[in-house]
Amino acid sequence: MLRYITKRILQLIPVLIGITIISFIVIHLAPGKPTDMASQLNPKVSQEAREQLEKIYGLDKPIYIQYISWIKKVATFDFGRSFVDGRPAIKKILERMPITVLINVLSIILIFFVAIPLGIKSAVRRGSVFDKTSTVFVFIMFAAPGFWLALLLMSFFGVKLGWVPVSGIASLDFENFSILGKILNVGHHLILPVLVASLGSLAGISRYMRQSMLNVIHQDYIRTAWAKGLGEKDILYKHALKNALLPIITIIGLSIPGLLSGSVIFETVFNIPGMGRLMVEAVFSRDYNVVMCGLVISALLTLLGNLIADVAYSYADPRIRYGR
Amino acid sequence: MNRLTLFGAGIILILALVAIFAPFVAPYDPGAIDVEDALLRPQASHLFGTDLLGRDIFSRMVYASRIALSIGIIAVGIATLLGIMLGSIAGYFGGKIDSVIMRFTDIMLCFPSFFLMLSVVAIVGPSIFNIMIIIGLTSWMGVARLLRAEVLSLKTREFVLASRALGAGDFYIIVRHLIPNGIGPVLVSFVFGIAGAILTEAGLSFLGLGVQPPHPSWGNILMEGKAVMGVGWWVIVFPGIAILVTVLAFNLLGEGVRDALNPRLRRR
Amino acid sequence: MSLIEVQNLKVSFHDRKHVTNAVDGISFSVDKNEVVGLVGESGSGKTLTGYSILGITPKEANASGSIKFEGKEILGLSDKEMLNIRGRQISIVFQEPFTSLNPVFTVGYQVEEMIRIHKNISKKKARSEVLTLLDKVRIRDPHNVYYDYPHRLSGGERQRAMIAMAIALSPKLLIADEPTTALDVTIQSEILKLLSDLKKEMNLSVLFITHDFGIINEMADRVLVMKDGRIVERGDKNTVLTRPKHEYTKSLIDAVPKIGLSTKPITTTREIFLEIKNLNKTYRSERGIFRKEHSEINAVKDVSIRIEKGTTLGLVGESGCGKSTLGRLILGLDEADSGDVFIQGKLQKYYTRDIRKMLQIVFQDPYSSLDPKMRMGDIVLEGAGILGIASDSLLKDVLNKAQLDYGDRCKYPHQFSGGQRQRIAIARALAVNPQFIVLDEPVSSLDVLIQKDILDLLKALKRQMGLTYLFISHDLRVVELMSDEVCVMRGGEIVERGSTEKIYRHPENPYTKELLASIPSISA
Repeated sequence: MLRYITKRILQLIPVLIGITIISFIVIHLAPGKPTDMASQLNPKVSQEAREQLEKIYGLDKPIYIQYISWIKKVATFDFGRSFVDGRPAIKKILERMPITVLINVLSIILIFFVAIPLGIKSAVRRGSVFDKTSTVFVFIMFAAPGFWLALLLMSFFGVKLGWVPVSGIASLDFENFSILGKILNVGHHLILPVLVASLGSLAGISRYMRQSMLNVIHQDYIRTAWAKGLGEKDILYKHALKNALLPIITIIGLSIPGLLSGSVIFETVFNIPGMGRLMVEAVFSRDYNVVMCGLVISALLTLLGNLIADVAYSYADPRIRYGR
Repeated sequence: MNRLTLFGAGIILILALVAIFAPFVAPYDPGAIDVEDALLRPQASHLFGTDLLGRDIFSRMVYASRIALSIGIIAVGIATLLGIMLGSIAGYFGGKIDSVIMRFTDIMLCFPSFFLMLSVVAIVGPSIFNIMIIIGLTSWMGVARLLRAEVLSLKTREFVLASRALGAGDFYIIVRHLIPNGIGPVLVSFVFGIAGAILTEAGLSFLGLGVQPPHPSWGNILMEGKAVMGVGWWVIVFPGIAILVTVLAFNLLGEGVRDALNPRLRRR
Repeated sequence: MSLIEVQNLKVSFHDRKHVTNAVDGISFSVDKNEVVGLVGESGSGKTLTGYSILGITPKEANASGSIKFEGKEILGLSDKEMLNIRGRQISIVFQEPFTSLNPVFTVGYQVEEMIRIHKNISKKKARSEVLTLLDKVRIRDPHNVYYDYPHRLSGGERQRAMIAMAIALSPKLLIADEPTTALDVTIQSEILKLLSDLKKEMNLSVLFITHDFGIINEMADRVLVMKDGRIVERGDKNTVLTRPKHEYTKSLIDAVPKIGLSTKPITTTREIFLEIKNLNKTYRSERGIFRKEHSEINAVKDVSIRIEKGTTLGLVGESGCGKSTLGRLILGLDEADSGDVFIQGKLQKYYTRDIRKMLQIVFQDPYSSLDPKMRMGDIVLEGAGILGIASDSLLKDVLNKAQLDYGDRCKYPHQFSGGQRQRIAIARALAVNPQFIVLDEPVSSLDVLIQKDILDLLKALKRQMGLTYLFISHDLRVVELMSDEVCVMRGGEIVERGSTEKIYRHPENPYTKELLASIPSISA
């Protein structure tokens, strides 16, 4: 299996290069030089910023040299400085990253512990009232725009009932709290964002889990288990579940970019100082260096998430763990 | 056909009619500002109330349905065509062509779509046209993978070999055998894709980086309504329901199409 | 008292309107220490009968009647009440060794589970019992197999593991549901031998479900012949085999090709239609960009053959021996690494349309060889369309030759039966007026009666149209029936070749001998 993991990591190299190429293409999408467009569209982009862009991308040179000089800088995480406050773009992104990652990890945990049991129960009791209710719930959650749910929950639980804070990740007097108090305070602030971030995927994944379980129940080896004289519980929760979970690991891995995308929206709605909101701010102020940095880093995070899912999968599936 | 599928199809039909005949359905000019009528509650003269500028929300939503549907269909159309082309080429020819196309697909899948779209918007600027293209260019990967997988399994099927033995060329086989047989799941993903694109457009517009005011879009009505939702719940409730119902309708239709294409033949 | 007594068993499926009786009121018994063969074609209800005894029929099925096990009624018992019977008293070996074991548990665990469900013994003791069992079913290296996952075992080994599981608790009745159908003929004979040895050793009673009268001849004491859910004939094995009463039984027995009877003179024309010289093909599966190793499979190794015009060359071998690859190489559907193909004395480097239309192919699986989205008429005329010679009269002509109904030309493939679909595939090949047809296991997935029809049709067409065939099959009996000359293939190489009579009567190569000895046959 170590071999498999090494192989997977090595395979990431061309993907990493691809990510930088696409990011590079994005910045060159504008007709003419990026600097022209930057200065036209945003007077804030000063002469100094323009020179910086020129320096980072080497815009007077041929395009492949531009790419090579850019990637050399990117390799050392030098994405240039923010046009807004002159700080290194990577610093701005990195200080915003932990909260985004935290919310996403919490969401995945929530998804795991809610979606999977929900899906299993629906599959096992197919056609029951429980199955039907959860199906309706899932369909509605799947169709509801996340930001709208966020607004509704915010105005109901936050504004009307006052149960949870509606903005930010900590109270104003945060500094005075004890450590436990701080954790509780942040937790309190994160209830709604985590809920909103996970609802869509939660619905989707419980649906997949249900389908996966139903597929497995019809496999030949389940018939074998019946013929052995195993009880229904053992058959469902031992023989079927272990197989049914395998595709779900992949699905959760694949849902990571979607979750990160969601961060953009709910961080804006809940006013959370994470990567997503920074990205939106940077787009509004045409802060290209920060935008490019955010783009590359978000892809790297996805890559990392996928790698973890892959390793988990290879551990769970003996057909990969022990090769063919 | 199942009742839910019919329900979905019905909603889509109604929506399409509303969008086509928007000028006849909408009681007011969607851009008509009337400060005296600002933030009116839903009532007979303003079915869904008015916004901060006194514009009729129902009329704005009617016009916004045009944008939602056209962005949904055109963006997903672009994505589907791209996906069909890349997926069938990769699957059929295999080898180096396949690895290049699929590696490219993997790379595109690494970008969280909103980060990628926002970056592009930052550079080319937001407009209805740009949003369609951007959504289309960033959401073809699923279709490509789907069709490739179909083609991979179809191309080793014996009717394809038989066709080659009869003297058929590559293009003939792709167009005559592979795409017709592999298109089913693509069709399903087309319908689901429209739902996804409508959600994406709403999200971008909500952030202020999609359809720009004064063009009404369900997303930007919500964006503008966010500021006043404390005083006027109707400003955010109705457009949200419109998105939800539309997306739900497309999802139900998608499930219906999928079931129709996959009769469950396998039984224990 | 019989061990198991089935009376008036009915298994039916209800959908919205119809009730289908898949098993339609059958009665039989199995005595202690007896092997009862249940013979029938696919869809006859034989497998459902076996499942009914264990109570593992699909949820949608309704079973009625009576099944008494040691005098006690067991039909209609709940899953809970059946737990003590399943596995412990009655166990089963399924047809599909590749999918019947759970892929995420080790083989050892799965056999051990069988023991631990029914016996309260320590893990250590259970483990040593499993090792003994694996040894008993002649798995080499039980210690390693114990810790292996199913995907690492061959089909034969998996079936042995299934058998180990089935006999783990010395059940009184073993249901063997086509246990060797998915296996190669040499493995099949080993498994059959194992089953009959175990039967003797453990005093098992066996209900042996199969479609193959050859296997019945080797295994069974008594025979039940099943058709459309009913038992149409029953009796002592020898009586049924030698003096079948029912027409259906007769036709089933007649349809089993006999072996070693070939006396026909070789038809030689001295005109070589096809010759291949030193053909090689290796498949590489690359293991990623960064590792240089790949696994290589020599699919075809240095093969040379020649086929005379108007004759049939039989190509026989077990799965994976390269026989299908060879057929595809000849047709240019796959590219050889080296070697030459001559057609009518002319070297073929690449295949033009004119050459392609001379060479056609009919495949094994009539379900995947026809495009499900095309109408029958369009399928048959596909090649003619490419050549620009499609016409209604051509369609009528080839449908007539393939004994298909012109009125069915607008139907889709799924509306035809397996045998009819194979006729469509034949008609498609005939429509371009070929001279040579590769028949790649053309009857292997058909029921035995339909096999006979298709083989007769192929023979008739060959005579009428002066066709040359390359007949590829794993089934030695069918190959003998069809071929003038035979090549035996193993591991990509031709190990023996000669006239059909020579190969079947005086085989020289040890592998050919082993193959011939493995065939369960009627005329022993």
